[in-house]
Amino acid sequence: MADAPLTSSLAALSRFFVGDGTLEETLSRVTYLAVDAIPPADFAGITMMVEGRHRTAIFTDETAPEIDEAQYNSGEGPCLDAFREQQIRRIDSTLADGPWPQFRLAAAAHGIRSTLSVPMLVEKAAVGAMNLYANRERAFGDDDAETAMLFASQAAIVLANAQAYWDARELSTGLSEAMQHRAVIEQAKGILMAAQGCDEDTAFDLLVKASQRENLKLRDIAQRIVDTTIARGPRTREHDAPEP
Amino acid sequence: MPLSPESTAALQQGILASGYTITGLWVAAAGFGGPIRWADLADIASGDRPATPAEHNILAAALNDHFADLGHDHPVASWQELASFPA
Repeated sequence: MADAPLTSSLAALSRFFVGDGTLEETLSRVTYLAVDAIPPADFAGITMMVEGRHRTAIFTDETAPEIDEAQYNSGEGPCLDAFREQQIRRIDSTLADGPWPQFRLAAAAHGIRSTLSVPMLVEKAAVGAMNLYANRERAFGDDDAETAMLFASQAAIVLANAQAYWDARELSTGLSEAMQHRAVIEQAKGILMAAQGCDEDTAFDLLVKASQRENLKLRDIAQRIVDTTIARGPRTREHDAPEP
Repeated sequence: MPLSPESTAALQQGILASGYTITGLWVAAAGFGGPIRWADLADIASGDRPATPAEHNILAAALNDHFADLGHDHPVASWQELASFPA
């Protein structure tokens, strides 16, 4: 049955729970499933934005990022076009003349003879491009392009969900840590307000100045004030309050 | 607010150098106290409105603690430091 690889890959995709792994692990699983779903492909990679730059961040073979580097350096290539223009891009023979000559050269030098790049779209926005590589010419037909597009759309949703999940988790972790720091800083400000008879903003300014003077993190200064005050115990009087 | 342009420039340079997103800085600043809303921070970072002295110092402290982790010594000036610089 021609659709068996696609069906099994999509079924595996539907069982994804992104919390099972990191975003990178999830994307890697998506990419391996893509190769399984499209038999002519020997390996695959995903072009996406990483820290403001296009990169092949995920791949099933280390050759993929080596080839793709040619298009990121030149700013031209089928993966970039698929991503930017949200269109399927196919090279039937990297040995023939055509668009993206530097990419063709790099691919041919690595034994790749044909490629297929499809955009990964979520609500009309591209979140990346899936790139498939084959070591024979004219490996990908129109049916493969349709299959790749169908698979990529499913993979894009997984990508978007995974990104949203990990963004939310990172935000939650960051806020939790921030609240721990905040508690210590608020305690230190309270100690300084009591000791100096100043308002909250002035107490914070004292922490800022101490942090700059000693080239220490403000939260470390605050922790030191709290620790010193606790260590002094109930004998602490106003003039005994620790200096920030 | 006489120091607004200097404050905005100092914060924008700090944000750019830190690599913080608005959300990342908002989370970091939450650890330093003061109720800075995300939308206010976005406006301050884009220069749409100036930071108050208290907001400036909280954001500068959050940025400087981040830079301290990278081995830098408080590159973002506090409001008081900006006020002391010669015009």
